[in-house]
Amino acid sequence: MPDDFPDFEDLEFPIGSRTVLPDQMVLLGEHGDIMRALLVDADHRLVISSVSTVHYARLPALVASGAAAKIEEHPTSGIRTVFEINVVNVTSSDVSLTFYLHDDTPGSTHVFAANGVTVPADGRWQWQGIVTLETKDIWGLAGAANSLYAFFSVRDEVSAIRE
Amino acid sequence: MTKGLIQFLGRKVTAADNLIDKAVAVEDTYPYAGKLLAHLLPGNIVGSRTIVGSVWSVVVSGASTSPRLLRKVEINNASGGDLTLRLAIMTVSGGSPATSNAVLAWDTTVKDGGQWVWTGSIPLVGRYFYAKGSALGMTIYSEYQDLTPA
Repeated sequence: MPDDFPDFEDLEFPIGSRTVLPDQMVLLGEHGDIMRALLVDADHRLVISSVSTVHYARLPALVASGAAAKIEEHPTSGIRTVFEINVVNVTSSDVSLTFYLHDDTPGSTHVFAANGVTVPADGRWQWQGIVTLETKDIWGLAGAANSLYAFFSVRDEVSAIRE
Repeated sequence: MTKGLIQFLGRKVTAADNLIDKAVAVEDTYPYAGKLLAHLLPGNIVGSRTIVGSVWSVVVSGASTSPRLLRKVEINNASGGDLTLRLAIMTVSGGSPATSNAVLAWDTTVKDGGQWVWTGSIPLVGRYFYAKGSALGMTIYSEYQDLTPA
């Protein structure tokens, strides 16, 4: 029997063989297309480490007018993911909205998600996708003062063991 | 379920805080190898309907220790006239949200016999989701999913 194989389906055993515990056993888990070893501890217990998504608390944030201002900042360490933005217009007039993704005062080459879109009077606007914030921040610019409030849905991706 | 000389057990805490050991399934593929199948349960998805009052009331909340993901909001107006809707998020219950707490809808018109629907994902982590109508006559159906706390 080879020590390495791509999938369980590639294993071949004689039919009717007696079950025998080996001196050593490697337990494998499949993550994506990669087979990874799982830990068996000193007490012969199977240890399966898991990590789940962490969602962060947020509140509605006013979108600045006149000049773009940071509205969702990158973390001091690590990476966070913005996966949805909901904007509501609390005025009875249409208001334009632009978001930028940049690590400094943004310009027209840093537009992200919304490029002067119109948020209708008493209406809403939504963006769904994945943008990771590591060094860059999201900046917002509204076409009128005190008109747009944005709610950012933020989480950690399930990709690594957290410290 | 056993395979050869090995039995895998998983420990489950019941609603009454009792510990019980439950067998974990092993797919009996080969005499020397198999697949351990441990089913992981995602958070429950719950839907509920209530009346939208003419004063603020909390529709859904998520504590920091038991956060929730708001997934859908559906408003139906059967009042006999057009009404407006306000939705908000705050950190406290029993409050009176201001414009700065607005989310999704603010003075948004829901026509008589009409429906307003939002779908998406808003984490409620130590947060309260409020609704208020300009008058009685609307109902709100909301769906949320329980999340793993940080």
